[in-house]
Amino acid sequence: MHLTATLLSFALFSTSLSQSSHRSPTLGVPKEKLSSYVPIAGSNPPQWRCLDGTGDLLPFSAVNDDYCDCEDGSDEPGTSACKGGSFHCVNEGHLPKDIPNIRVNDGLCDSDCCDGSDEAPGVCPNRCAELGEAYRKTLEQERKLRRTGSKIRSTYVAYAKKEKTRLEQDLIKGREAVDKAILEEKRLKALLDRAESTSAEALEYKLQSPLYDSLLAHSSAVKTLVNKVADLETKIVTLKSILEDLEKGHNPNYQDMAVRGAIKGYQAFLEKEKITASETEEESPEEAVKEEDMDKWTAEELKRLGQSDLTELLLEHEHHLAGFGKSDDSILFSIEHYLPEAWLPYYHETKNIVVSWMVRLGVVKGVLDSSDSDEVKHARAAHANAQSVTREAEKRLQDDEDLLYDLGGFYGPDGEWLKLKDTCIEKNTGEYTYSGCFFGQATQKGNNGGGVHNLGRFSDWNADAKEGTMEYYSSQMYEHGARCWNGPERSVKLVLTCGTENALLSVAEPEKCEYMFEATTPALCWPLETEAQTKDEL
Amino acid sequence: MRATMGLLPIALISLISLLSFLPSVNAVKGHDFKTCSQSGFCRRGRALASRAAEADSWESPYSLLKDGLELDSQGSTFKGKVKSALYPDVRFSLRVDVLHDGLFRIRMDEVDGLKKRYDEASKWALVGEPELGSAQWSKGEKEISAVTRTGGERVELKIEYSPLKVGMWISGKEVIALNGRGLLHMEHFRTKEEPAAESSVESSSGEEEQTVLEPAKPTERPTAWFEGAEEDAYWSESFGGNTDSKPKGPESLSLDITFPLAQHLYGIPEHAAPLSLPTTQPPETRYNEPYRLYNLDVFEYLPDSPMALYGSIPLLHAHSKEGTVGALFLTGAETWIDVARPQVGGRGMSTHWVSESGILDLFLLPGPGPHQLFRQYTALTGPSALPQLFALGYHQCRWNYISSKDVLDVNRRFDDALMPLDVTWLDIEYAAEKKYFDWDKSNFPDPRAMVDAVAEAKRKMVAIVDPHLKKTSNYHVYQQAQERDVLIKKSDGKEYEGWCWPGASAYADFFHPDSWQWWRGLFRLGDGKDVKEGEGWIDSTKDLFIWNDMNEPSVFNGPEITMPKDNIHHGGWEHRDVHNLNGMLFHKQTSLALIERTNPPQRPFVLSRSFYPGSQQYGAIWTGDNGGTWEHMKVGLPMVLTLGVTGMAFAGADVGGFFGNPGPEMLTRWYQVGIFAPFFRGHAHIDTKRREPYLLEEPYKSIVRDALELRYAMLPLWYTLMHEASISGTPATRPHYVILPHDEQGFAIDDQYYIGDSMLVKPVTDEGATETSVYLAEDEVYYAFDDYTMYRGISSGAQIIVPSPLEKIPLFYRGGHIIPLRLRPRRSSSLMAQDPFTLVIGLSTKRAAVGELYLDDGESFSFRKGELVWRDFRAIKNGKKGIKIISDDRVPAHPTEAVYGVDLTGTWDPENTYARNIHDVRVERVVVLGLPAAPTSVHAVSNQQKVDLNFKWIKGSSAEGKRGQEGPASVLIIKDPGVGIAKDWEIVVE
Repeated sequence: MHLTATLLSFALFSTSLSQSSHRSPTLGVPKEKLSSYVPIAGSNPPQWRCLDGTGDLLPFSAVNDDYCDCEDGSDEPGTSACKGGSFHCVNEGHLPKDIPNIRVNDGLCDSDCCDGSDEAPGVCPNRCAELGEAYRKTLEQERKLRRTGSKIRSTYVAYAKKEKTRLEQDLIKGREAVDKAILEEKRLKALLDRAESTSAEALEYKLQSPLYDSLLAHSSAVKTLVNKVADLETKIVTLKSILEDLEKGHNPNYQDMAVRGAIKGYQAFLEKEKITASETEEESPEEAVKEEDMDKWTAEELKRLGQSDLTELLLEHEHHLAGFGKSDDSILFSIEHYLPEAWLPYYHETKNIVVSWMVRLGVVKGVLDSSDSDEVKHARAAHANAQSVTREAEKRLQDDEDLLYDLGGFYGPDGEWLKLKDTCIEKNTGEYTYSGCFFGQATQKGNNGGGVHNLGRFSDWNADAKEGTMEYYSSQMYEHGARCWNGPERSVKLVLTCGTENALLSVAEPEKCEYMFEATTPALCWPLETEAQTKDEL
Repeated sequence: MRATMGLLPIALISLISLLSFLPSVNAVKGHDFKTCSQSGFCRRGRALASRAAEADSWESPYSLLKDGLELDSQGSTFKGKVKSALYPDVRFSLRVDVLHDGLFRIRMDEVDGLKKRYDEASKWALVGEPELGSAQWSKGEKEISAVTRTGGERVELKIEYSPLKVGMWISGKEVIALNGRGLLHMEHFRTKEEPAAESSVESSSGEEEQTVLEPAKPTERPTAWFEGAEEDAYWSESFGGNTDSKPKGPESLSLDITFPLAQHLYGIPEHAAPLSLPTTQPPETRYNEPYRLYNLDVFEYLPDSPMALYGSIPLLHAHSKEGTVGALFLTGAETWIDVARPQVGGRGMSTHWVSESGILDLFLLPGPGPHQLFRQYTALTGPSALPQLFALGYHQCRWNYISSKDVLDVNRRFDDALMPLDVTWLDIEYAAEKKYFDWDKSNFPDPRAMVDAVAEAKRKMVAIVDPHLKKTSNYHVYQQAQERDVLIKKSDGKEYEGWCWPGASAYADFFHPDSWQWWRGLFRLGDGKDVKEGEGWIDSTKDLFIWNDMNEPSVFNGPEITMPKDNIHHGGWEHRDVHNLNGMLFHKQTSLALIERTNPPQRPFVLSRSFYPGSQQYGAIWTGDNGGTWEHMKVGLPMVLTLGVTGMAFAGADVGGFFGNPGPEMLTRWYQVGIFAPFFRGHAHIDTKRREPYLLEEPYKSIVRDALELRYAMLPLWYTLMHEASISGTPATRPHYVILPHDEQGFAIDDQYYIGDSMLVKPVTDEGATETSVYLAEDEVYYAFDDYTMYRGISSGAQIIVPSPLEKIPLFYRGGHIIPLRLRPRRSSSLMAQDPFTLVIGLSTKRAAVGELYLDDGESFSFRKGELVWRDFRAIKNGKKGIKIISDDRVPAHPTEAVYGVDLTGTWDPENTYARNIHDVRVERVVVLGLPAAPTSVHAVSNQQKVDLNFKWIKGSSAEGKRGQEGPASVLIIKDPGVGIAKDWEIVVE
């Protein structure tokens, strides 16, 4: 809808009436365009054409006559008659400024137009001297802050430089270490290969054992169950927290039997849990033991169990059997001591059957080959050790390389942010304490109890700005925090300005679960451009 | 700040989505609210109607006794005795008042009953005792008749003795019939018998929690043919776990009102329903439930339903091409209304009203046209308040702008985006612990400084103040209310406690006269000085206005989210008697408070959610918590139109929808809809993404800016129309049936409407629309407002197709009208005060046009002293091809219509203070559409001086052209005619 556009497209052909205009034709015209606001040379009466070159000739008096003749609005630089234009305030004694022409002649003395030229003469006082002075003072204060801040920042930069030098040296050493480790690993691999090739066939055979199969199955079952339990526990925690939020935050508004039911059910559930817990304490000792068993099989423990090296176990088992009869710890052997004598013949019979089955199954046969396995085991261990040494060396090298790379821009143009890695800033807002650790995590902690909420981890600098600019380093995003119930994952936009301290000034939540932190840091106090250059602007 | 923004509503919304597995935006909790069959008296009322319908013969048991008739000497008031054959010992009174302008007021009450029926609805709703008229009464064998007049029409009321029936006849035709179907029933007060016979059983399922009755006794009671065999829910009833103790027993009122000539019925807001009320009874049942009037806070209401909403206006317009009549059924109690069209496609509409309590107090409005109805209703319930100009600008709201900084940032961003803005709103989070008046100083450390900063651009702010008071010793408002004993009581007489935003809350009783001065005092401005503790609002300024929400009242843990009906108000009345009035009384006191807080007083601005007849005097209302869907966008149009024709001229629906996240196309279209409602506000729920218009991407952002600018350009028109509404009650937004009352095809149209008489709009509410069909039903030309394309209508009705891509609104200048515009965009409406005008003249097929413009200072009451400018514009034929455009002072010709209730005859000063203030405001441009030929000269005559004018002519179609001559209209643009807007002048086009 361009209501006015249609109206503006008509230029006048009749010039019989000259509009009285009290305005200068150059009112509102910026310096560089002044030359355009003169009558066409030699025209009499003086004439003028819209700056876009369209339309018929206009009497020069149509310029700034408070009626829009030109489609481009160029005939009214000093009034509000044309839509979309701007008005140039000279503001002598302060900074010149262009304001939208909707602010011209609106009865308000625009602070951006301190010379008062945006209103009819006499309406607005010229406040440029006063405002200019205040502006310069503020500017000077800002400069001071920048200077002080940049001194602190320079220590960050020095730190980064030192780190860089250290890293560069470490890199050389690191590369050597890696090379050396790789050579050693290769050597041990060769040894292992040789040892294994001799025992490979034997191992192959052992791995066909049903016991091994069974181990595999158990192991896989344990792994699956562990995952399942973990999954269920997470779900329970989520559900509990939903219900807890519901209970705490539920609105008796639109009160609903289903909601009430849900809350009552939840409270009953909590109550029951409490009772179960206390009952457990009072339970009989036997049952308490069971409870201990349950406690023993923690998720960690189960996880460990699931991850055991089965081949290793098999071999160990074999080794163990090899000592059959020799070891006092042998279960089969020790059992005999506890059996009533009358049972012994049956026991021996059974044992023989078991052993013969073992032989038939090849489990006991392995016992005979156990000496070979030891050699391989040693070789494998040595190789594994060498492998991990290599990996560590490589990782150290990679870390160093990454850090060095990050010092080339990620940590600021001069690497100044490295110093602040894991520095945390905090703000107590009464109800909560908010914390943000640079490049780490942002959190919210209830001051009157209640847990700590993860508000997100560092994800990026200001993605909307060009990399390397001041704007780019002026905000950080922290994302993928704990999900709000029925809402988004919590996130934080950390907005930074130059200051002499690393401090969190304010926390706000403009949209649900999307936080805004405002903080100061010396890292943003970039050194001032040459002072003279800035002064030129005045 | 909250960990999870652990606000109640979030939990609530989450809960609903969790439990219902529906997107929260589409869910209304229907089971929170009663259907007719779950409401005892409605059930009884509908059962009565079905017994009547099924009976072979049916005769009302009520009759007017021939003895004891009284008529006063003026022929104004008639009184008689009514008895019911069901209960010969119970006595009823009938009273008929003849009112000025041909209205009849009919009252019926029980006489000397066990208790007293509530009879004060009129005390709160009417501006005063209605002016009496007089009639010629005559008494016949079967009936009594009273003849009076409205305008030139003969209006007759016929009262038949037995059975009692009342009919209103206009020009020899019956237009309204009462008790024609024999459904009149006033349940008299009785004593409870054999309580053991009834057992209240609450089923555990929670669904059928109705009072379940024992099987009928073997001996049927003698009134069973009429009242039913059982005492259905006479003495208590339960719903949703709440039990209504009903200490007064049954006292409902049933009445059938038939409109024998009517083709359509309009009115009885508030419902999210079409303008022409769909039927709720066979043969064409569109809604299965009756329309319900019971002010309720309905969470996520449905966009097509007769369910009760936030406000109630029990006024019907019955319209046919012969005329319009009205019926105003004044009751404060819950009311259900069945609507039927007995002859499919034929004449006659029947309605059946059932109210829970109260006397019958019915006004019959004779019309005979919509405009007369508006005046008649205004005379009864008062004029719609003339708002401050800023209130017609754009309002930006959100739950919530979280801090002073946020507020100032929003204002700055409107400026940066060159978008106009008048008001920034603060929802409940500004208040510490939802203790309204008490600012949350951690986020709003210096409220006055904030409001002042916003006011630098002549903008305003609004803060919410709800009627629930946090029950805590450190809340002065609650403490004072308690001390003054002006809180609503429970049925046992103790202070009532309900849950709302602050948690446990008490509710001030605005029926209590002692609450009034006290409440108004709370808003007294401190002007920075310490006002006495608790006796004013230090942290407020004259630029801070008020929003009254939740005044149904909303009670989160109450039955149907409102107050128990057996709560007690001042005077011992039960809440059931006054429920629908409650919101208005609160609104009224807040509105008066804002008038009183400054000297000289400024016009108040108070937005209310709940309303009743009379609310139009106190401020604006909006259609509540709508959803961000196309369906809600659509239904907002008929909702606002219905509110307009029932007196609530200052109404609007929230742009964007309160719930949900509208996409950019929907939001853009919604702005294009919102600019055509009198009240224009963008609002959003706390769970939604921010959606201030400056956040939109291009091209949406520019399109919305254009829409905002269009709204502001049209402000002179809107203000003139709000002035008209304040005088005559004629709404600014006018449905087809109001403008073209004889065009039957247009009677049900509610998706296009007129702005005043001069512009026609059909807002686009369909996703992806690129063209729109518009109905033009008169022999007149219409001009597209943006490119002046001319279209021709025809009195038999023409559908035209116009382009409507996203950037285009189907909006037209109606031929024959002159529209004043201000085309210079500004930051706020007040900053346009000295801007020049553009007059757009859409010539009619007769080469003529009329228009008017009302102006005043836009904020004070000085217009009541005649400080105003009211202009008449006319374009008339001048010779064979030309026209004369004339600007005249409108006041001398209409001295009683410039200010409501004020006659300016003799005191009118055209050079009044305001007129002098705009001495220099000029007409910068006149645009004439549809002239037959290029003029040879244009000159202005002002102060006896003749001045030649510059002009531009664009060839195009003439308004006087033949059918088929359409396309681009001819355009004459007169440049800067040098005439003042407040001056007499002529512009001659030759």
